[in-house]
Amino acid sequence: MKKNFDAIVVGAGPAGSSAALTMAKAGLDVALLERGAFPGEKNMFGGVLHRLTALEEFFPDFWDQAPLERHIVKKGLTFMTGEATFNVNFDTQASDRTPYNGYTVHRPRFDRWLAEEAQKAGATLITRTTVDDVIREGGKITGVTTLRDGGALKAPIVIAADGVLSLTAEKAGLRRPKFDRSHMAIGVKALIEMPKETIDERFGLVRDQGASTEIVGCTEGVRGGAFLYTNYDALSLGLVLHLGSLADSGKTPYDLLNRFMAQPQMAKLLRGGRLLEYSAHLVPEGGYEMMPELVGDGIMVAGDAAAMCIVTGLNLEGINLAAQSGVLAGKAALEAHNSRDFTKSGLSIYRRMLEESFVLKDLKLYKRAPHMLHNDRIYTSYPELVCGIMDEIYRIDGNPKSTMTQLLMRAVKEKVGLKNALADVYSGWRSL
Amino acid sequence: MSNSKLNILVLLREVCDPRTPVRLMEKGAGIRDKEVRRIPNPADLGALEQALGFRDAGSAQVTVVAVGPKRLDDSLRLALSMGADRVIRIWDGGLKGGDAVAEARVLSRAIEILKPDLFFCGNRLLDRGSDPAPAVAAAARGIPYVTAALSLARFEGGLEILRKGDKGARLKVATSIPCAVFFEDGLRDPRYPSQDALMRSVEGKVESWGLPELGLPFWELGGTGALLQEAEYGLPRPNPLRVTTPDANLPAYERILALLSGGIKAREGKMHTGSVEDVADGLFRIIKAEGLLPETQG
Amino acid sequence: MPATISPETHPTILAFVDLPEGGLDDAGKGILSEASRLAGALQRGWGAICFGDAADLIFSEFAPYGASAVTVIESDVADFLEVQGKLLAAAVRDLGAKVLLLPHNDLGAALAPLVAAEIQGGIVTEAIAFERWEEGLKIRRPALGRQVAEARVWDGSVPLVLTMDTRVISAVVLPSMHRREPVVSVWSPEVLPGAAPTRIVERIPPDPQTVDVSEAEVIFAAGLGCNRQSFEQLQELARLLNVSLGVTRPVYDLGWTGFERMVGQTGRSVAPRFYLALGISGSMHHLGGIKDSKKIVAVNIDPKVPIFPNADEGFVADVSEVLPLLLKRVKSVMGGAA
Ligand SMILES: Cc1cc2nc3c(=O)[nH]c(=O)nc-3n(C[C@H](O)[C@H](O)[C@H](O)COP(=O)(O)OP(=O)(O)OC[C@H]3O[C@@H](n4cnc5c(N)ncnc54)[C@H](O)[C@@H]3O)c2cc1C
Ligand SMILES: Cc1cc2nc3c(=O)[nH]c(=O)nc-3n(C[C@H](O)[C@H](O)[C@H](O)COP(=O)(O)OP(=O)(O)OC[C@H]3O[C@@H](n4cnc5c(N)ncnc54)[C@H](O)[C@@H]3O)c2cc1C
Ligand SMILES: Nc1ncnc2c1ncn2[C@@H]1O[C@H](COP(=O)(O)O)[C@@H](O)[C@H]1O
Repeated sequence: MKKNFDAIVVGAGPAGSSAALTMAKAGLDVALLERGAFPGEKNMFGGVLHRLTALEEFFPDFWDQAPLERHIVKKGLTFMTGEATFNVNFDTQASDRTPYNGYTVHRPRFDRWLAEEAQKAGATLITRTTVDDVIREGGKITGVTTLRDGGALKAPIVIAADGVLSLTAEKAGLRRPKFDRSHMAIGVKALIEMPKETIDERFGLVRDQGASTEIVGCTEGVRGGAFLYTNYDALSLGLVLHLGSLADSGKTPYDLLNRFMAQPQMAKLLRGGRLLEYSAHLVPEGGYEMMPELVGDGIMVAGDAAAMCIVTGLNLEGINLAAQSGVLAGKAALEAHNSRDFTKSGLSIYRRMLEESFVLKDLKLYKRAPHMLHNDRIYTSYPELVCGIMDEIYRIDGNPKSTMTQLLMRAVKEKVGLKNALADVYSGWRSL
Repeated sequence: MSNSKLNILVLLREVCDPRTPVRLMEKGAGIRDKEVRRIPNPADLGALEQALGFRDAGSAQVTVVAVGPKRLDDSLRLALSMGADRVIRIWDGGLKGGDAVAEARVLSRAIEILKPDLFFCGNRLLDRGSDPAPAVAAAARGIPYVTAALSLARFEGGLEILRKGDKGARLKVATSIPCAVFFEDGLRDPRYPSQDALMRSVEGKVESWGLPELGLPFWELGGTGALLQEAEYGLPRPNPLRVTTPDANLPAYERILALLSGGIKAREGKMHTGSVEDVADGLFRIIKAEGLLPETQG
Repeated sequence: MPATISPETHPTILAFVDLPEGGLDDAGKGILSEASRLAGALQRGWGAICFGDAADLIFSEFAPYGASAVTVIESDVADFLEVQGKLLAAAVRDLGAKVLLLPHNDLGAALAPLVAAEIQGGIVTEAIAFERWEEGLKIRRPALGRQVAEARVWDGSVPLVLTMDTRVISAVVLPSMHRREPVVSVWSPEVLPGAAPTRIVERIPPDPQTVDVSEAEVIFAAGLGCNRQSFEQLQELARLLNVSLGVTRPVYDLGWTGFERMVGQTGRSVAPRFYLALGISGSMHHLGGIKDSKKIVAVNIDPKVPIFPNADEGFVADVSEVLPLLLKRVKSVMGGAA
């Protein structure tokens, strides 16, 4: 029975399927292992797929081939307090032309499509199969074992793309077995059914244009933010909550999400919609700081498994990084096959390629972002501050208006304290 | 026990996971299938497991058929990896929109061609409940069927089957071969195939039959062959209950309320408080009224 | 067919009833009631058909629903499904019936496909509703785990076999039904069931102690309000009264019973005639599984728990005090009976 391959990819998420596709297109014999009944069966995310430049190499007209819902033309940021919201919107015609800058997608369909493309290119997709360990020979990783009798598959290269809790990377000794709570966030999401016409009208969209909004100040002081994305005829909205802060608050994510949806500003947008489902998933919020070793003898780690996720509260990027790292891991595997060097040093070209790509550059850029975000003021005081200032500016109460500077200073003093504000500005600047 | 191998045909049907919320198309023209999760009908997998039990004992060879589009190859590969000897997918665009009778014609023809000694599937579908097509197909071929089967054993050239009756009763049925048996769900967990079996199934052959292989005229099949035409889908009242007729002695207001409740009757919620003795008495009275005590105690 | 049936009593709609203990049960009455509604919708006559011994039948039970005729197939074929199916099909054909209506209980569900194949008619099973549709009917049945209903249209051109979900049919006599003494006709066909391919060789009555809770007729269920001692007393009570035992999730978690006894959303859905809930708070997850019960009685120490508004009768009391008393009373009665 066939049990030897040129490469084994664990996990048919965006990272794994991109890696398998890259290698299969180049003629390698690849096994793509997935524990679900089909790729994407249980995968969830917020909903925005940022432009995947890595895949445009294989799909020049990606937007025509991939199963997408809407392309994003309106991006927004909202500060929210109990009773006021302040929105910043970015709306450009450029986003309405191909190549689009981002899309909303439905993961079970998208992941399945990408894996099927890898299959078409010649990869062997093996579903309903959970990897539970790596095989080691002479210190090198030479395959994986699965939770099936006689479940040993061998290859000189294993790519661990099994998501945030990557067992494969752990078994390979590339990351510590325990996670630091402060490095993790939990995402909870609700999917709300709504007719396309209603969505178009409420968000000012036409055709398959879409909108995405990130919201701060709606998590009752727990570190985190919210997102609201338009699918074709449903809305995705949810919260990404820092795990440590959530645990300290004693609140449950679903209660927070329910109360968020009940806020008058949200309720207005959701009116008439029907709740289809709730889901939850972990996010490797630690980014660069929690990254495991990316390469070992016979193994590479890609995507969430390598904590390649950028969570700034204003932005959530993961799939683009996953796909890019998958493609690069695939290319590194090709190089290794050419030189027949599957050792750590042979595969280290993967790390070099990542360093040169936006993946590690961006992750480094945002390296301090988690620290900035661990400052509770961002989630409580600043939304109040922004909304308070706007309230003063717009309020007509017969009193003469102060100058902007006076207003700002007064508000800052009241809500945050000047020293703190300066410190935050400084750390915010440093983190970028 | 006869020494010739039984030829068992198992029908594997696809169902929608009823836990995922559904959405309907405009005017109920269909179910929006984007989010639905399709899975092999669990009771059919259980029936396959029953068939494989005979195969393991060396007394059967197992063929699995599925009727539907290409994506069903995945279920059939699952059957292959579990140990089925032969898997066949029957499909033609013209098979869409059939009713139980049109679907039964396809199954009946498959039975005619494959000539199984035993024809197995689940007694119910996870999503749609009762599906009469396999029984109609067996009946049309003059093959007896046994529904709601719990277990079966070979017995003097035939089978002895334990089946469910109403209200928890059990019936033991003797039947000759050939015979169709429709199993209850949850009797046996489908096996988790070994890695080798799985790898073999990835490369295994899924036979594909269309109308020429069936040799059936298209007008007998699908929407054209259906005796009952498809109409729209609707969202029902959650779990429709028995419609209650309002008590004529009630005031009009109460009667209207009863009608407006759409037959969903609120429970009375009659509360009793009192000493422990009173409560024990009350419960005893109810137990007696329910006829749980022996009659002699008048 | 017997010549005793006059044309005016030739019904277009036939309701098949099963007579489990010689008389009509709720499913039988329910299907008569449905047939009466169906006849009204189609503006046709209707009658009932059953297997049995005409001498033992109480025809007055049929009268309130307004059947014009009752046909009794007098033949001892209860153990032979195929023979029953063939006889029923022959009767449908000979009476010129257009619709055969059956309850979707064990026998009805098993017979329907046989008859449909035999008369080459259309078939819809487990229907939950029907309405007049031009010359025929639009019939609805559940799909997707009862989240939606799918519909089929019968245009009246072929005979139809229709089984109704027994959860939606009602034995209630509606004001629109006019009492009528049915014309009884008896058909005693010559059959040799010996050659039938299947035969019921043994009927095993339900055993409440081992029957699946989802099939149980009476369930006494324990929640976390029962301590170990109360639970054991409840077990004894259930054994004495020969009823089935159920538990809530947390009680199952304690390991006091197997998973198959757990009632609720993750456990079994039950629909007993009588459900006694002892020390159960009545969370949504539990209530979801018991709402089809005919009668729910609850005992809880806290008057504000949600089980009470969802029960027919509620007693505010401490289970650990009530159970010993109740057990004693039942024992004394049973002792007297033994
Ligand atoms: C609430 C939330 C919102 C998000 N929003 C966005 C967003 O808007 N935009 C964005 O770009 N990103 C977003 N992300 C992040 C994004 O989802 C991830 O970064 C991305 O899915 C990572 O892809 P991956 O292929 O590395 O891992 P995954 O998508 O997690 O895929 C891993 C795959 O491996 C399989 N697997 C796991 N273990 C095993 C095993 N042992 N054996 C076999 N198979 C296994 C899994 O079944 C899965 O299919 C969001 C995340 C969350 C939680
Ligand atoms: C996804 C999910 C699925 C679930 N599925 C199920 C399921 O299928 N079935 C199920 O049962 N549960 C299920 N649960 C659990 C369910 O939510 C409740 O936790 C459970 O039903 C509560 O059981 P209980 O009523 O026995 O316990 P409790 O809620 O703790 O209630 C005990 C009650 O006993 C009363 N009491 C205490 N002492 C006495 C006394 N001496 N005398 C009288 N009364 C007393 C108390 O007032 C209290 O009301 C599920 C939960 C989840 C999250
Ligand atoms: N393997 C599959 N499992 C579930 N749904 C599928 C599968 N393949 C296709 N679909 C969906 O089924 C519908 C019809 O597919 P098809 O008949 O293959 O064109 C489309 O909406 C597909 O998205």
